[in-house]
Amino acid sequence: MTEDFTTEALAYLLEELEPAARARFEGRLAAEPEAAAAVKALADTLAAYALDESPPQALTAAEAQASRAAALIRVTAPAAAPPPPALVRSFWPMAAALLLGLNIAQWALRPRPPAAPTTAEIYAMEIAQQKEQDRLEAAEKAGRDKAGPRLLTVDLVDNDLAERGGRKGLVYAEPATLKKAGVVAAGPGTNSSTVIIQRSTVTLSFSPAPKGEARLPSAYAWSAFDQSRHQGLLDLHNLPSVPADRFLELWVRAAGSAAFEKVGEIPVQFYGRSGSVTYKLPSASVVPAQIMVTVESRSAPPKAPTGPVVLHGP
Amino acid sequence: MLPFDAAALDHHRHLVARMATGETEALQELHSIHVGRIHNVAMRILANREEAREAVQDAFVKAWRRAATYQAERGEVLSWLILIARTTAIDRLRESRRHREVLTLLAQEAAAPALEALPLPAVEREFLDHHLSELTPPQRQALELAFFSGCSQAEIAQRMAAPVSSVKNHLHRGLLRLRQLKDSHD
Repeated sequence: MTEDFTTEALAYLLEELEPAARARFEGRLAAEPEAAAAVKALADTLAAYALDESPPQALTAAEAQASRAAALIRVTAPAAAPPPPALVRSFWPMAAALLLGLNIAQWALRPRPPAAPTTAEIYAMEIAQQKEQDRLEAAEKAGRDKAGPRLLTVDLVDNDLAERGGRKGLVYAEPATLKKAGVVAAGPGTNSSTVIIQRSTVTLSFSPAPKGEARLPSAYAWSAFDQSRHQGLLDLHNLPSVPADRFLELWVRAAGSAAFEKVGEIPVQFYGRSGSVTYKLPSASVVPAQIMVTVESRSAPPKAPTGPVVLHGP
Repeated sequence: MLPFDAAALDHHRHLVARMATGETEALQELHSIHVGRIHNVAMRILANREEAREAVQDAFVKAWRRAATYQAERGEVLSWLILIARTTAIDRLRESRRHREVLTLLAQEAAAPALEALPLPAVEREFLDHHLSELTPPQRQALELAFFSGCSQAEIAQRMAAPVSSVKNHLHRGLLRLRQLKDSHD
């Protein structure tokens, strides 16, 4: 490997060759196996060098997930819609039919995004929230915005996969909207969520239906906890209907505590439909670690969850 | 030495082949395997978490789009990813204020020893010293400026107060030495 070759190969690998020079060099690599082998060796050497000389940086699971989500959003973004059919007013019928055929063919052959497009909006929410979390962390580090709300990242997980232990394959939600710190809008179709609370994770997932029973309709929920206001938000969707002698109770287990505490009854008007509730914990010094919604009997309201679990997390 | 055995490297190639057919699951898996290392490199170049994170995202998107053109005979997948990430990060660096600061530094301290003048944290300095000790100072300096700072050979020459021909020689010999070290580890 001569010095000139090294210089050119380095410029090639670092993408610093002009297009014409790059094309020439690639032609050389195609024609000269030894040159191609030398370039491979150089590429792998540079990679090893880069790895060796790049100090390890802490990358949290949430950051890695957000990064993956962002990449997936972009690679699964729908292709631009095909142009509408040309306006044909006075063409011969055959010409019109031909144009129609061409448009149909164009539609059939249009670029299509890869599979799993339904993940994208979920990922958008993760990213938006991750950015907000970063912003808040930065603000906290700088000693500012101490009185501001703490946003908690919401990470939505497909219920079926969650039951199998999976954490990917997310389901559809409307594009995330960060309306304000601590509140994230999620659209319909979401099955479950993960809420990161102070860098620890709480998964809120729909409980699997017992064998032999029909799956409950796609109920789901997500939650966030605003530590500055000491208030939790629980966004419930597609709750099951509950007999008149029963009700849905919300329980929260605080971090550091072993027991669930009753924090409120889900309003009756939400049964069989959707709604949002806020709650406060008994002590202002704790944050939630687990959340559960159960069906309980009105005749004997329990002090601890006893009835069938409708939602739980993690 | 790349931190994977032959079976893993082969699996990475298979993932890229699947990416080329549009399998997003392959991208997710490749991302999960390599994101930490790619992030390290991006951070080394950009020294900013937000910038690095976005550069990593860009790099994987580019990898997705280029998957069909990946050629294993031109480098392992990790090498391919690192070089994509490096270029992406350097592009960001060149647009950033930090790069302007580096250029200012280059202009002001053209005759000073380059490596010591770079605004790297102490921990990076120590890390760098350990792993580049096999190279001569000019080789280290030239390689550092070329790979992590995105300097052209002319900029490196200015920084080192040396002719471009010397820079080429330093890069050539430095890379040869690194390859020898890598081969001896492999």
